[in-house]
Amino acid sequence: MEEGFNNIDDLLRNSLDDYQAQPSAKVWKAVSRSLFFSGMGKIIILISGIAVLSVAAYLYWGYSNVGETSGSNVEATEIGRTQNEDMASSETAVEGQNQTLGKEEGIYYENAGLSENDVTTNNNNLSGKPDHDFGSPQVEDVPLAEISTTDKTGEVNDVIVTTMVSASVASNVTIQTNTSQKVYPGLPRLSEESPMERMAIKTLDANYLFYQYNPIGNINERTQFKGLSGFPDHDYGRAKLFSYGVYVSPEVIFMNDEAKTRKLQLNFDAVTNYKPTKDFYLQGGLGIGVSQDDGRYNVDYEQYDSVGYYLEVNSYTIDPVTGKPVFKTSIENVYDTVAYNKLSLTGNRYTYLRLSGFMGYRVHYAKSFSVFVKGGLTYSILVNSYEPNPEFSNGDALNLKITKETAQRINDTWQASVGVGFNCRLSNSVTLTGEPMFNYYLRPVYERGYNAKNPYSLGLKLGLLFKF
Amino acid sequence: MTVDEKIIQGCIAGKRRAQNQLYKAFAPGMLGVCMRYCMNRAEAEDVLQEGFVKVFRYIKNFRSDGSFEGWIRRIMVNTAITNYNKRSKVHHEEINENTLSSEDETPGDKVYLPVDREILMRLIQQLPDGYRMVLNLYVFEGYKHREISGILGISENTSKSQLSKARKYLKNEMEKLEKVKNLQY
Repeated sequence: MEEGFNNIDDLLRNSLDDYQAQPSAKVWKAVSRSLFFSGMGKIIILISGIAVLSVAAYLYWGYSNVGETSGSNVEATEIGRTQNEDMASSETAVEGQNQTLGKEEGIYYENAGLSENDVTTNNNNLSGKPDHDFGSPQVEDVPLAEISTTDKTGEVNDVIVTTMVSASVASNVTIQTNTSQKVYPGLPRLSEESPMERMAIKTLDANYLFYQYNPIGNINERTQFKGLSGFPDHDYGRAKLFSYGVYVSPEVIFMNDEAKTRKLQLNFDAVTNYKPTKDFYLQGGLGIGVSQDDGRYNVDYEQYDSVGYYLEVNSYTIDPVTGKPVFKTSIENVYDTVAYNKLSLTGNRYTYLRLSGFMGYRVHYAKSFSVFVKGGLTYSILVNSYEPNPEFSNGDALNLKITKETAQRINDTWQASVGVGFNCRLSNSVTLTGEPMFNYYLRPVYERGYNAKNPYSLGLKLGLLFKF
Repeated sequence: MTVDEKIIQGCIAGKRRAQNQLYKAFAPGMLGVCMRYCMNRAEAEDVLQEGFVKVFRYIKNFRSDGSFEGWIRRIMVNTAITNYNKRSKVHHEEINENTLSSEDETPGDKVYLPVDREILMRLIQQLPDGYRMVLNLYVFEGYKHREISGILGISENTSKSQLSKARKYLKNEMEKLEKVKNLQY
C-alpha cells in the first residue's frame, strides 16, 4: 500500500528536504538571551548593575582625578604628567620657546612640536580666570626626569621635566624654571633621593600639575599663564577617592532583658566611601536587614476532660467466712470543663531598611593590608513584618483564646556602631574587608513597656570594596 | 554543509561571536525543518530557538566523527517532538475527519507535478499534529513505524494509519490545486 504513494514521498523530499527560511531577528536575540541567563549571565548582570550604579554615582558626585596617587604607584618620571586632561589639551608656550603641547598625553615626553627657538608665552586657550583662587603660589622649577628627545635639527636634547604648576593655579601665575632644584610652592625643597621626600613628592603630585621643557643651553625660562580656563570649576581636593562596596554582616543581638535572649540579624549593605585624605574616609550606606525573632502566643482554652474517678458500687455480697460485705464496683470517670494554657512559639521575621553613615580612620597599613577604626550611626526603618499565626489544632477545645505575647516592634530605631576594619587589598581595584562591630541600639527595638533596656549587638561585616 | 572547526571550538568556549556564526550558517535550514514539524512559523521559530539553545549548551558533547549538520538536525527534530508531546498533553487535538477521506487510498501510478514549496509547506502545516509528526518522521527522517510508535508513544498501527491519512489529505489537496490550476489555464 505504501509503495503506491512513494511518488508523494519523493515529491515531499525533493521539495522540502532542503527547504530554508530566514528566521526573524528575535530568534537569535532570544537564543543569545537564554544562553546569557543560563550561564554566568546572572552574576555578570549583578556585577554590571553594581558597576553601572557605581559609575553613575561616581560621575554624579565625583570628578575623575587621573593622577590619583593613593596607590603610590606614580613613578618619579611621571610627576610631570598632567592631572587634568583639560590642561593637557590647552596650548602653552614657554617663554623663549615656541612650544605646543600634545593634546592628550606626552606633555613632556613627546615634544615633537617643540622648537628650540622663540620661547614665547602664547596661551591662546588659557583665557579667563578660574572660579577658584588659591592664591598665587610661588612655583619654582625642579628637575624631575630627564628624557631624550630629538629636535628638528636631529640633535638629541635633554628634555627635563621640571616646571611645576599648581593645580590650583590662579591667573597670571609666574613660573620660574630651575633645573637643579625641586621646590613646591609653600614647601621646603624636596629631594628624590630621600625615600620620605620621594613619597611626599608622589603625594603632592596629586595636587600639582607641572612640566618643564628645558633644552640644553636654555635654563631659566619664565612661563606665564594668563588664566587656565580649561580647569574644572571645582577644586581638586574634592573627589579624591570614591570607592564602592557591598557588605554582608551577620549580627547577634543581645536583647538585654531578664531572659538574656539573643536574636540573629543578617544585613546586606551597599556603601559608598569617600576618602578626602589618605587616612580618613566617610562612608554612606543603604541596605536591608533581616531579623529573626520569636512570636510568643498564649493559648487559653477549655476542654471537657477527665478530672478523676470514683468507684461505683454495683452490688455486694456477705462473705460467709468473715461475715463482712464484699462490694462489686466499677470505675466511673468524672468529667468537667478544664482550663488549659499553652505557649505557642512562631518564627517571626522583620525586615529593615538601613541607612548608615560612618567615619573611619586608618591607623595602620603595611603593603596591601590596613587597619581602620570606624564608627557611625545606622537608622533602621521597619519595612516588613512576617508574623505567622500560631498553629493550634484541637477540635475539643472550648473558649479558645489566643493572646499575642510578642511585643510590638517599633518602626524605626538608631544604632551607634564602633568597630575595627581590616582591609586586604586584593588588587588595585578590589579590597576585601572584615569589620567586627559593636552596635548599641539608641532606642529599644520593642515598644515601651516590654523591654525598657536598649539592646546591643556584635556583628561581623564582611565585604568587598571596589575602586573604579 | 561543513562548519569550521574553529567555530565549533569557539562555541564550546562560549564565545558569542562563534555562536552567532554557527547560528547564521544553520538557522535557515533548521527553520525549514522546524516548520515542517510545526503548525506555523511562529511555533517553528520557538522550536528553533529552543533547539539552538540546546545546541550551544551541549555542543561540547558533539563527536566530530559524525555530520555536524545531522547532529543539529537531530536536536531540532527531538525538540520539535518534545514540543509536540508537551502540547498534546494539554491540548488534545481534534482531528477534522471531514478533511480526511476515510476511504482507502488507492495506490496510483500518478506522477505528481512539482508543487510550489511554499504551498506544500503550508499543506503539511495544515495537517493535524499527529499526522504531521508521523509524516515527517517517516518521509523525511526515515524512521520505521515501529520506531515512530516508540518515539510518539502510539501504536504501530496508529502510525501507519496516520501516515496513510496524511498522504491522502495531501493527495486530495494537491488534486484540488491541479484542478484550480487547470481552470485558470
